[in-house]
Amino acid sequence: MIIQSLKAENVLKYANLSITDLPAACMIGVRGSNESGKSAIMETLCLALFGRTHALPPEQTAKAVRWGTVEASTEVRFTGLDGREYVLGRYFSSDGRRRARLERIGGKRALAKGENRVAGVLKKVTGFDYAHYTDVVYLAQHEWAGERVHGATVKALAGVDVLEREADGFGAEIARAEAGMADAKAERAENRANLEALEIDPEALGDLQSALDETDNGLTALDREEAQWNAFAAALDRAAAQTDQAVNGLSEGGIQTSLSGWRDKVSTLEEALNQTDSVCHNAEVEMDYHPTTALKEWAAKFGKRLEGFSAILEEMGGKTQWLAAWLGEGEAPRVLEGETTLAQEREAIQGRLKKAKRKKRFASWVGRLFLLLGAAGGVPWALVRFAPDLPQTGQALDWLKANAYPHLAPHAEPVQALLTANVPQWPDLPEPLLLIWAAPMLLLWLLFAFRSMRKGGGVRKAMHKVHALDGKEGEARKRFQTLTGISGQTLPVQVKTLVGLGEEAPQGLITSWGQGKGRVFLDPGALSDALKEAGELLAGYQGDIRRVHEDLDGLREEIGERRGASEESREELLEEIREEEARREEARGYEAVLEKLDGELVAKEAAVAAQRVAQELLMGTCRGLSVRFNQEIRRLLTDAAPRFTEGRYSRLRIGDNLDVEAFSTEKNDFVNLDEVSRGTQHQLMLALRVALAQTQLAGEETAGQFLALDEPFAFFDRNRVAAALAALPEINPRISQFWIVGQSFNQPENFDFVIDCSSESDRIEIDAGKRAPKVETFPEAMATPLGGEEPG
Amino acid sequence: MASQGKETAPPPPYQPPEPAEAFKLYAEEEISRIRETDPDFDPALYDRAVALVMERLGVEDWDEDWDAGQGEAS
Repeated sequence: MIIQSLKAENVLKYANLSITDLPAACMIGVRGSNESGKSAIMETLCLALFGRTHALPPEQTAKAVRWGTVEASTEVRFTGLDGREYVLGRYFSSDGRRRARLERIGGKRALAKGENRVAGVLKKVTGFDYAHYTDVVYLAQHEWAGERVHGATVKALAGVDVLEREADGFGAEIARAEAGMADAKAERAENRANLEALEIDPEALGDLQSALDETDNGLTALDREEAQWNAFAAALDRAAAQTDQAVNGLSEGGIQTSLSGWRDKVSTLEEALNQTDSVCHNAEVEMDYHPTTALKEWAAKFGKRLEGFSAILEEMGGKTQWLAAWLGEGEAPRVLEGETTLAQEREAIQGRLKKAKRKKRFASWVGRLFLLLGAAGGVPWALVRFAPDLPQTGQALDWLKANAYPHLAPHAEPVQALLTANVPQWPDLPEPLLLIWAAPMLLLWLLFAFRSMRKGGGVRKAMHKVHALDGKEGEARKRFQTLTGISGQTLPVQVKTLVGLGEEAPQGLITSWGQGKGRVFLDPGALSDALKEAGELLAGYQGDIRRVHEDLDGLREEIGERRGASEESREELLEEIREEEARREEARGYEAVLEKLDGELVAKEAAVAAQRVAQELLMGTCRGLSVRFNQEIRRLLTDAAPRFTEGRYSRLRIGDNLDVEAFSTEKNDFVNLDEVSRGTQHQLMLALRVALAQTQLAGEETAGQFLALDEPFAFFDRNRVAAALAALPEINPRISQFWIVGQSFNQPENFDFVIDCSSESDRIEIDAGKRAPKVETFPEAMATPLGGEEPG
Repeated sequence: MASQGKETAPPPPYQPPEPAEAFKLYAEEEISRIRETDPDFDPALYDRAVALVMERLGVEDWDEDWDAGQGEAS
């Protein structure tokens, strides 16, 4: 970069500064006494290029606006690295407003507007930013003491800044990662310690759960046991109620109770007692007392009293069955085995009666027939005998002779002969024929009349049997009804009924039973005594039941205590389980954190390993580049240093820590700059600046470069000044423009232009193109500053 | 220029290499050296490291002709 012109208004002390048409190759001197405005020109150049001065912090740049004014502006024209010409204008106000604009001269549009964009383009155009500029090009006055080249600049020049920045970035990342890993390891250790401190027993929760299950099972068993006892109590109450009801039921009806009623009552009582025993048995209760024993014995004894009457009734029942079978009221073939039923008897008698009637009717009819036949012969015979004069008698004899005689004569003649022979005055025929006919007929009539009479007796006998059977049936039905009705009768009535049956019933047995065991059922007093005994036994039974309940209450109380203990134990177990689960949850949390931390650490270690390798490779690259840059600087310094030190220091080098060391030919070794005089330091640093500036001109295509040196020779003696001024342009022809500030110059002829500054003036206007090189003779009075001794 | 001294031939200029190129060149040489000398050489680790640097330097497709690590650069 070569400065062509610099213009400024209201900057620092200058109301107007105008230095124009500067040649690309020239030595420009800026001189003046203290506070005359020499450094202000250099600062104005710096402000015009980079928007800030070297003396003022960036945030106080507004102070560069000239006192008493509110606005300032700069314009610098320069030749860039590419050889093209640019103009950079800036505007400042005292209240901090700023503008910037960079153009290429001849260009149609601004290359950049605004400070940030201008800075970016400016670096490309000139190769400099502010830091780079102040390290390489502009050596400000106050930097000469203890001057150190900024490492960033050297690194940028060496080309390692980017790589080293990345290496540093990796280093920072590694440091952060390692710090993070250290934290993670510490956290992991803390988590491990916490996890170990928990002393998680893998089986503890299972054991607690098993204990809880066992307790729950115990509680369930207690509930079941209590339910069983409650059920037992309820069942016992029901059985007791049944027993109570059964005993009380004994007295209902008093003696007006049937046998079956008594049986049912006794059976009900026994069932109730058996139910009580069954309840106790099912409950598997071992009791010292037996509530049912006495009542059962009483019931058995009471029931046994009925047995005698039952036997009687049973016997009567057999008879009833026989009667029912005989009467045809039911089928009882076994009962009537070998015997006939009423119907059979009636059928047999009816058969005989019917047969007798039939025979009687036959004999009667046949007899009447023979009577009629006899009358048919006898009546004519009587007419003939006793009324022969009647006309009808003659007619009858005529008819007889005409019709019957011819047929009967052959048969009657023997008889006629016999009768005639034996009976005197036996008439002749045909008259005897009538008698012979009538006599046998009448004889037969008599025979059958007798038979009919006999059969009539048989009929009467059969009818008598029928009537007898009807009577027997009536009696049987009456007894049957009595016997069948006896079951619904009260026991005393039954007894009375049986007694009323007479011999049909076993009167002896009835009497003995009624006076003995059965008296209790027939005598209200005896019954009352028996029931009183039952009531007393019931009281004992109920007392036993109460004791059972008392025992049950004791059992329930015991169960309640056991339940209370179990529930308390359960609560404790639940609490322990909750605590154990919380501990496990906490442990899982630690484990999760540990797993996460392990994963993170593995990932971080892998990342750090890669970053470390990356850093090492970057640093190796930087070392290589630094070596090469050092070699270059060394080469450049080898040429420049002797020129500025009269050959006393031939080589400079920049160490790894970026300290500049010089090789002392006198000491034959590299020495730190602190070990040499202030003047030599300045000489060497001047040489270093020139060398660094040369590296900036690395590209062959790049244009020249200017250097701005603010009072570089303050500690130089005359010879060193002369040597330096002579050496500067010779180092590298492309470093062709030098701005050198000094209070005075002993050899002003070494400058192409000298700009005189005065504390009295706030304006400088120089047009280098119109002005001949001004070579002023350095006033003797002003030679003192440059003639000073070198500091030790 | 009045104070211009005698002409001297300028030395060959030092040109800082492109950072990525310089790094890649150095990394290739260094990795090759380590591969031959370190029995525990982990090519994937070096490939990751080179990839990491290249990513930071904003270089893409750097591994087209890269065979130094022969691991899996990611």
